[in-house]
Amino acid sequence: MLVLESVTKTYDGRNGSSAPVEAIGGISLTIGEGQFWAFVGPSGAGKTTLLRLIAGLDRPSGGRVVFNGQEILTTSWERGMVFQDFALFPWLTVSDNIAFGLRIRREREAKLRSAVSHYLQVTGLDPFKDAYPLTLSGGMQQRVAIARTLANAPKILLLDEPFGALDVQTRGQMQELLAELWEQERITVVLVTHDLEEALFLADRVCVLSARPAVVRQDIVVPFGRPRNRMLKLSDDFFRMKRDFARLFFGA
Amino acid sequence: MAPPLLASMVANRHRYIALAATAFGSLLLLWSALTYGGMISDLFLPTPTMVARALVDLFVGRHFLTDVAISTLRILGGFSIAAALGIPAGLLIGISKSAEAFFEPLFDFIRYTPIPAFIPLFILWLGIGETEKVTVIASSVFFQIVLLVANSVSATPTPILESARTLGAARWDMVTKVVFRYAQPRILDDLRVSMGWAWAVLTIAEIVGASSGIGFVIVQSQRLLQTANVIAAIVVVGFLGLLSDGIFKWLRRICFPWAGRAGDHAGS
Repeated sequence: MLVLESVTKTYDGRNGSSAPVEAIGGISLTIGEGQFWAFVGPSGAGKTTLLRLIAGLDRPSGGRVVFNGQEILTTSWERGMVFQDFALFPWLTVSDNIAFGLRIRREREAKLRSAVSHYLQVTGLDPFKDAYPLTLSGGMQQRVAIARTLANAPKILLLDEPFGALDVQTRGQMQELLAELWEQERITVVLVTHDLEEALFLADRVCVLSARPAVVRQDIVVPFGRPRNRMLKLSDDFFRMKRDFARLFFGA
Repeated sequence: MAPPLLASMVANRHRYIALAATAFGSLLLLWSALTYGGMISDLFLPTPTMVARALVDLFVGRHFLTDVAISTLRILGGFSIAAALGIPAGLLIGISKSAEAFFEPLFDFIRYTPIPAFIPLFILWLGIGETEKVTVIASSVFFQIVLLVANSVSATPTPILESARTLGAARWDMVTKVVFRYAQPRILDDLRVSMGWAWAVLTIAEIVGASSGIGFVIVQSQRLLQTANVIAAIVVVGFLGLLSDGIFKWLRRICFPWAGRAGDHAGS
């Protein structure tokens, strides 16, 4: 269980003289185990900051982030993060990228190999397992990034605009793949995106954040069942939900 | 890889060779124009033919190969010591703010002092033997390598560091399994660039005080007004430089196939 207790985050001004930037202005919420949450909001709304606090890459200025009873002070393999720009290790092949986390955690070789081959299979990367990441397309690279994080068996998966750098068609495919993977694994996921449709399609809870400083403006339970596929996006319910959300989003 | 791209790479390779050959040809042409017409006296700048003859004469008649070998061994000795100490030191400065604050300004200061000016001191301390030659190379190249490597190491992109951390990498893993691995091809480039510096310093050391080596042959020939020998020896140093450059580039391709060619750095 992940708990945010009145979390705020203020960044110092760029060069000491400029005013400090208030990125997050007091967020409290509880994310239960196995839930899929999405945070949407305008660009620069502190969405990524929120994720970095959960990952332990940054510390909050006020309040606490608590995971399974322990305050988050630094990074841990338990909270795996997928970055917008993939951030793969270019010197490792696709399979070695996927094996990275388990290898540095000194996992048994047999378990490591079965995890790697499993995620190569489910992400469709098997034909590329010996390729270097930079020879792959953006969509394939993001598959590697997701497989690399999932193979490490984290307890929470943090996704920072994971498909933001992909073209529309690839993005749709990746969303379906992610929905499918999540339906198999059911681990806790926190997704940050500016794409409303993506949030509604993937998540079970969607929080709309305001612009800086970010606070939760609306917290909505997504009623769609599982498994989900691309047909969902064409249903009347989905359209209606999206329209209601869009009104809120744009303040109309 | 798609055929058109491959084809253009092959075409680029031919183009590269053609352009390089043109550059060398132009230099030779200019040199010939200045010398064969008698515009410049042979004493100041001999003709290409005379230099070619001097080259043959040096190798056949004067055991120049021994001097070349001696100079090369001095380079290898001094350079290896500089690399063995400089790479870890550069890595340390690149990853630790405290180490950077402690060492970098000092090393920058030393790097900007004219190392050749220290050669008389080294001769005073160590004589003109091999120890002095190797020390001169090692100490001057060391500071170059340290600062280049520190710079390469600190160029690791933040997202790569952060993704390693969220995968569970501890501090030591970050250094050995991420930072160092990412920097390796750049470090090899740093060594390649430093190699030129090593030859420059060695040649000066051999000119100032030596009884063998390429620099010694240069200064001896100058005293005897054998200008063609001087130029022949310089040309040999140039070719050795090209050769070591080629070896470094080849090593980079073999060892780090993921990193592309020297100059275009992966992931940045």
